[in-house]
Amino acid sequence: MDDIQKEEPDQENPRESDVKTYLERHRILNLLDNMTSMLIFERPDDPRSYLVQQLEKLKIAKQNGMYYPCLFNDSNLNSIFGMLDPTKRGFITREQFVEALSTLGITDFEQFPAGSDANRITLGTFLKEAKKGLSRASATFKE
Amino acid sequence: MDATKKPLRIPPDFGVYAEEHGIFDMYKRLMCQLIVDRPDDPIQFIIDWMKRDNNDVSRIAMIGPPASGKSGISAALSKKINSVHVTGEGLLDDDLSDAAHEAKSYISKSQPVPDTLWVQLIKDRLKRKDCIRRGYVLEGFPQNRQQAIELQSLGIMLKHVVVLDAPSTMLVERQAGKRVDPITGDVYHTTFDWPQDSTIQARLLEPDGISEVETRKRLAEYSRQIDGVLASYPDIHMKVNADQPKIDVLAQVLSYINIQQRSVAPHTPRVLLIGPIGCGKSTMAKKLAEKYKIVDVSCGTLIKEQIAGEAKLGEAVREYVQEGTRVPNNLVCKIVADRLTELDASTKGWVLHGFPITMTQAQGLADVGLRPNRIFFMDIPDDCVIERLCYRLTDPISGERYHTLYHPPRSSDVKQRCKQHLKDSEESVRHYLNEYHSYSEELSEFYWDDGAVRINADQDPQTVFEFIESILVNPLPKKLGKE
Repeated sequence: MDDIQKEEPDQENPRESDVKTYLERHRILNLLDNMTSMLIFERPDDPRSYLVQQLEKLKIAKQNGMYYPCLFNDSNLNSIFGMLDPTKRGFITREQFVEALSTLGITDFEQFPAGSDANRITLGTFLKEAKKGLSRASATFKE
Repeated sequence: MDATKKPLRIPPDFGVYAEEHGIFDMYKRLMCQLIVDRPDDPIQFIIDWMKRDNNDVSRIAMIGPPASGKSGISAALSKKINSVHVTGEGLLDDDLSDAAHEAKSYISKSQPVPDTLWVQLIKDRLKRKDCIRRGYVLEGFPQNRQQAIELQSLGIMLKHVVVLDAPSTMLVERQAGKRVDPITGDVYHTTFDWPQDSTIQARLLEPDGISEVETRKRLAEYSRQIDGVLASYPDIHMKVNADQPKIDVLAQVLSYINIQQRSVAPHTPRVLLIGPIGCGKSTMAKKLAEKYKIVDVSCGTLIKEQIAGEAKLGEAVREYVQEGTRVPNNLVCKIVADRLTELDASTKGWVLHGFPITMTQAQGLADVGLRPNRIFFMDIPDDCVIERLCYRLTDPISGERYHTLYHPPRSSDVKQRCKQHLKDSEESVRHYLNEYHSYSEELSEFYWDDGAVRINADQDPQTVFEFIESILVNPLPKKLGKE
């Protein structure tokens, strides 16, 4: 999918830029990226019906504004936090927080969440920020 | 967590998986449709499209002049590949369709049916479930460029257009012998295709419009239109000579529709070159890697790298190499698999040679999910290998390489001091050859079902390379209509 994004048109023609705006407005490339990650992860026997299922979920999520289909669930997030905090101190550093969220593939998130002054970010803050970021990354449609 | 500490690896099985299910090709078709239609609700559109799209089936148009045998071939073909046979008469027979009624009223007034109406009829028919599920053979359409363009703009994308072609004198003669069974609608011919059954013989009728004048008129009309139609399908049509026995025509058509068209969807070649020592595996691998930007993976070089790099595996391998014995299967397999699953190899593709040598190794490779998608067996007679390898000489002073037959040293001085590499002795080469021959049979059996191809490697390198390329760049043919 990267190739499609990188390709620079030799000369911009109106049709081409129309298509580009269309694809960007509806976040279609992000959608395809997410679909591919799900396929890589699940490798279902019937990729078509699997994708249709996921898209139906996304459609419902779009209407309700919640429960976006996503590869990571609460237990994954909990275990990430657990890995970063092996001694169970109950908090992680800001650096770890930023690293963890970028590893999850979240691009835009609160760089200085609650507790970053003391460099102590609690599990609650981490979960909240991660979920917010993940739903933004999965909400691949026109807002 | 840090990308440098633990390199990102795409599971190698995903490449195989994506290829098996045609994922990238599906994305390509989906993108095409999205860009053409630009729907306001892309998610719903993709859901509908995913449910509807079926790329496994054939979408064929069979066109040709009158009496070229379109209906016979189309009927036989659609039966063979289990697709729907769509004919002009069939389209008109639909009693429920208003468009069909309208078209029939034109015909009863002996006026031509407008192109838009035909296209409407075709579109309605092809959108039905049976056509989507089983594919179709559209007989006799598009008749002209206008119809072809309208079909394309409605998003009806044919995969193959078969054009039956024959000299007009032959067509006129053939048309004159045409007979139709009024009950079944089957077409027979007085000389070429006479029914065995005497009851059918008795009821056969001479159809309208088979006189020479009428046939010539229709032929002229066809010749005026055909170039315009084909211009709409520049890459996907093939002309088949219709002046042959029906079974030969059918065989040619079948082999054509099994060819899959090239697609711009990303394709990662995973090439495996198998052949005896000196057949040119490394030369080909190098050329392929250069031209297609894929990763050249040579088993021998990998092992040497491991030893030089003093990696953990290298330590284990070193002893075997120093003693000159074969490195155990599990070690080689691990080394090769590690290289092939690295990011560059799994995204760009690879060409592997020098491994596997035995079936156990091949099985080991398959077990870790690494399946080549293009397999070549490079065949060469032993004598040629001996000729290629055993006459090689190296000048120890200049480092120049010579070959007694192809590139002899210029002066006798040089000739005197030239040395032969130990590995190039006939004994050593024969040893390798024998080893190859003892395993080549089982390897070839192992890979045969995956579509392995045999090449005569005793040719000019460029010729061999072009042959490999031709198989590499095109999708593998399908297996429709074959047992």
